[in-house]
Amino acid sequence: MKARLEALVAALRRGGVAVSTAEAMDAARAAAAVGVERTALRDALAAALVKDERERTTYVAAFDAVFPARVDAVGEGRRRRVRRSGAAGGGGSAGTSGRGGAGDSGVATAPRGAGEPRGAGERGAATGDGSADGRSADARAPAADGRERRTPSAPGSAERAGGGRGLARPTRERRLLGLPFRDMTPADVEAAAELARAIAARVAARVRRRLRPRPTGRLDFRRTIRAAVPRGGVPFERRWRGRRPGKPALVALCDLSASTATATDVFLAILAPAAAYFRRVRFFGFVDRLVEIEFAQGQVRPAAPLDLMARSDFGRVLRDLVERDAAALTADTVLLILGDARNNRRPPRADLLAAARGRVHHALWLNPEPHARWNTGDSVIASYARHVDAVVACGTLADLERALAIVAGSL
Amino acid sequence: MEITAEAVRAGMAAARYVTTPRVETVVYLALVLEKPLLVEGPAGAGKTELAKVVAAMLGTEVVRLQCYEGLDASHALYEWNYQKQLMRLQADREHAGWDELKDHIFSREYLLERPLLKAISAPRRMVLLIDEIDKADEELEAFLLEVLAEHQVTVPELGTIVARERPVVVLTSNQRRELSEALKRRCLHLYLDFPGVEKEREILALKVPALEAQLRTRVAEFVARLRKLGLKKSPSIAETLDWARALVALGIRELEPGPVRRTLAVLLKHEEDLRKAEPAIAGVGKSSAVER
Repeated sequence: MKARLEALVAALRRGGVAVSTAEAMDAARAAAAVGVERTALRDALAAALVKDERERTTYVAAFDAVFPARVDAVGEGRRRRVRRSGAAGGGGSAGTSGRGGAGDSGVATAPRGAGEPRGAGERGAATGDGSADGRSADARAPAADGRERRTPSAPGSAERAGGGRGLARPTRERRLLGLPFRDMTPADVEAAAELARAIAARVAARVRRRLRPRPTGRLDFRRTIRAAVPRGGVPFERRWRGRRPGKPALVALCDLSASTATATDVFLAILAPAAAYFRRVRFFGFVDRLVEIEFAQGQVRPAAPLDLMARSDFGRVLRDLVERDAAALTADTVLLILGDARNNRRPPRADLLAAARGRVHHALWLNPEPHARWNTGDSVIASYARHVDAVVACGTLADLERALAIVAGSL
Repeated sequence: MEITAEAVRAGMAAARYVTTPRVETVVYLALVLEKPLLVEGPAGAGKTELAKVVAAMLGTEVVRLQCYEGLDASHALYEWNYQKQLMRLQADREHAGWDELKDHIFSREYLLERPLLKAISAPRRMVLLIDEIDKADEELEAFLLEVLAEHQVTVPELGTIVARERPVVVLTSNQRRELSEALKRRCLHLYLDFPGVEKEREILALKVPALEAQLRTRVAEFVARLRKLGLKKSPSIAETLDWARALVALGIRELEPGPVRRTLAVLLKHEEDLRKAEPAIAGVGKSSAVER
């Protein structure tokens, strides 16, 4: 049993579920408490090990592999897959899987491919990458999940999990959160809009919390004495100095060119509800020129005509910003720029960005491209990165939420 | 009561809570391992009710800490009764020396117990319900860690108060934000989703016995269909029960578009949702007509 638990924990960790030692110990105690009845054991171990419903698919797969059900037909199919994907996965993670070797990684990868060997191979490779480079696993694993979900067998395994209905939504969310914007199908974009609303609510809550006036711990002597007057000068009630930050202003520059269109749409949808917490919000759109835009009912309306097919020119956009719309840049402004910094070999004019940064409270660059593609080809993100407070990758919904959390934190 | 898996099952049934083996297993584990139980899921799936059921099962009370934005330690843990301390100081101005006074005014007598401290210092085992933890600030989670893991509260002036009887802790969350890893790590996790048609029918049978069996099935199916529409706010179990009661009160015996539309305000609270539900309502009449 101990060895099997270890195998389960190892499989989960490889699948991207963070399991702490304490949780593994809880799992052991849980197993001791419920005994060996399979369903009860599965639920018990899940309660101790998996703290996020979105990870349940991974868990169910890992559990099925480590504690196979005694149904011959199913078992036979699985054993075959294990061998297949064991070979695929083993190659990828040979460096890290110590004692268990290829067999161990087979355990981790087999169930994901149940029903489609090709999927298993891809997933195995993704997992292998993951052990070498956490970032790429983060980005790719959920995408592989998605591929798997479309295969007819995946819902079947979800049904076997018992919580069939409950499973679908969290799994879908997890996949969407990690799906790069540029890989999204129109159906995905539609589904993402729903998720974006939830993220928007969270971001708005974060901003609101951040801007809440709160006592700084300093006694407001004058108001305390005033409050004490009716009680003969005895200070029954203390009064504190509140910190009341003025609402900041927000200036967002969004790349409207085709390469980042989806990212921009989602970004605007998430940011729009947060607008209530800023003193003033100005959205600008750009391709090769800067134009103020209005974002309402999910539609972008430029104030002036903008050629969406033009070639991006960040240098000119920055000049527009600094020379024409400088009034928008004030000392309490947060400046957000969403763009891939692909400048078509035109002058980047990073000096203008530096000038803009000097006038605002905080400047953040959101880059929808994955980290690996920064500074490749005509991308000049490095020259801009020097002049902003941070450059954040926002290729997926999850990234975007993280980036906006940083924005909220900077207020 | 002695805690066994069977006892938990029987206890939950006795408390009239319709549930699944998964929920029973996890509740049983929470009791046996004395670990806090983190219940997540959509609003209205019976998370808070679960805590009450556990309390009823153990024959004890629920101490409830309702979380909200801005809830701080002084409202959750304890607070010194500042006014009373001041009065004491005023009254003792001439006689007592400082040392004596200092020991006195920082004693239990001047401590206001807030839910967490109350649950810890109660003479018997309580159920501590920390409701909607996702609405509280992240700072509060840090305060909770000590209570959850060690079952103790530290008051700097008094020392550490350790629970005489470890409370059963149930946390609920609607996932309005991600909880911290540290908190999740210390808890057992349970995801409580809406019940399926079968379960919901069982719940209806238990809570609204006046509803006829055939109508019960229709109601459960209709609500399940509504929940699939991706509404702004899906109908909760409590709302389903309210609706069932409304149908009984109005003497409606068949689900038809007309009566459904009239009573739908019990289930759906957004204009937008009502519009979205329109095809499902129209479908109600057809399917029942075919079967009739």
